Amino acid sequence: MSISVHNLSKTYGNQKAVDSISFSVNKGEILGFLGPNGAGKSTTMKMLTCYLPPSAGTASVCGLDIIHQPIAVKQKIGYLPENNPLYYDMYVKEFLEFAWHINGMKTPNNSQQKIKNSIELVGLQVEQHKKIGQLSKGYKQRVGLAQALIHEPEVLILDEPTSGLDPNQLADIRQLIRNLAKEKTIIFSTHIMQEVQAVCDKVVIINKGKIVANDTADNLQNMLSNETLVEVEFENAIAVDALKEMPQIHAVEKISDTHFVLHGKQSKLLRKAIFEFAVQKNNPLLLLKEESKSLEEVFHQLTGKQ
Amino acid sequence: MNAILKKEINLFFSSLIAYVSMAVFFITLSLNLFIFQGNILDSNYATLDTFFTLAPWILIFLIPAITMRSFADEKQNGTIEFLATKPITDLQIVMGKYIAALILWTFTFLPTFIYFICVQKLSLEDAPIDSGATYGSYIGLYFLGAVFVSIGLFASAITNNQIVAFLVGVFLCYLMYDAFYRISSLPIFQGQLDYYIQAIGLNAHYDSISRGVVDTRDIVYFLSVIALFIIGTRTALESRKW
Repeated sequence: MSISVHNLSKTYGNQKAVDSISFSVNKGEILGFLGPNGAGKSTTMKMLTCYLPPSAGTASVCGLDIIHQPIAVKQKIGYLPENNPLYYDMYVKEFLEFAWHINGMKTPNNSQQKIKNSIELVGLQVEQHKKIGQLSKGYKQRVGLAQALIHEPEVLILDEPTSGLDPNQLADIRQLIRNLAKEKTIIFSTHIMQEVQAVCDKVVIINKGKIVANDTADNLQNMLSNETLVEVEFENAIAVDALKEMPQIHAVEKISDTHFVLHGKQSKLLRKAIFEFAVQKNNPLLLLKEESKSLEEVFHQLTGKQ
Repeated sequence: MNAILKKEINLFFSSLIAYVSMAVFFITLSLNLFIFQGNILDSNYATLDTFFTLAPWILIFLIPAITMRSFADEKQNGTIEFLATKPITDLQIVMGKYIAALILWTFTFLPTFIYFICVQKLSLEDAPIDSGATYGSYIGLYFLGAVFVSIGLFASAITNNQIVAFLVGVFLCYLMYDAFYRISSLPIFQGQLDYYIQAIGLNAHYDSISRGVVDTRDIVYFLSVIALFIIGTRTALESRKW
């Protein structure tokens, strides 16, 4: 197991930022760490990277204890902190060279090759001769990723790696994370659901310092999708009561006289019934669209106001 | 540690910090020594006393200005998290920054040997400069600067605001250099504690070394104060863990 967290807690004064959480990640897996702002995601990551000591509990990275072997743990980890702090008056290459040396890499003759590799990996070639402060936000984020990758760590911990990126950059960075996962273990935090659906193997949802869900992305999605929603539009107006005559339908949401969202079970039977109903009433069906419950709704249910 | 040292040195010498601090120190002292009223050319004595009396007062302001950003800036920008999550200890971070600032102080300090050479050349053969006392004073001044660097780093580590770091640094440097000496001369301490209170301050040891006798007690004192503030700096950095 690459990362295992056991009853980890962090208390600030009276406030429990992280409350006895446990989870584990295997080599080659991507764990999406999900939660609303202030849920304790960053605090957990800071503890895993030995920036903050836990108040209770323990964790290990590649079998090394974060409390007793911090230097060895830090060597295994590539970390992109929240808000991506960088030295804005350093040049991209100068900074990456600094990152190489500060990671305790002893072979300077190798460093230029590694710097070149990580620049290519994150797609910084065009901007590599600029000062970091001159780069746009998306490119700064790439510099942050490049420094996390430069010493080829076994574990990557990325705190909101995609915040503030445009849609193209988002797609690039997600693709990069997926490619990296082939040989690394990755934990990354986000509050964007689509990202988790697109990238992660496993999902941990955390709220107010506690884990509220810990499962694979697919299972989580199935968990609450025993109800199917179907959006329909007819050519001519139709009464809600007429729709309710269909036995498969539990509830009807009316959008307009011709436009409805129908709730029911067993999507296939439901759609068939709707089609037959339209034929029977001689009212042409213009739209028939299934809406599955997304992770987003799972997230809302698990972390919503309690 | 070497990585941090190299980064800090690059930062000093690729920006104006290094050149301005060297110029400020050298120009201010040169003006007072050779041009302004009370200069050594008018006074006719082959001595650098003006230099050694004024230099500490300039350093009280100059060195906190050099060191004020070293930790405060990293904390402000969050880059301290970058450093602290790399496989190095907090003490290595502090030492890297301390040695870098010490190297800058050395470069600021070295040009002042020109004064010594000038006065030596200008003096008459029968009234030469007192080399022993002057060398002693140079050693004392160098250690004084080294102590101020550790104080400045400490001040920078306890805040994330550079201005606060500067002001606290100036205050602590003044306290260590002059205030203990002043306190010791208050009437209530006369004849009892005054010697000990004076010995806590830097001034007494600077004066003692300036007489040309390099006493190991003074050297041990300077090194202890440096160690104390370096440990204080490390403790301030680790305070995030409390």
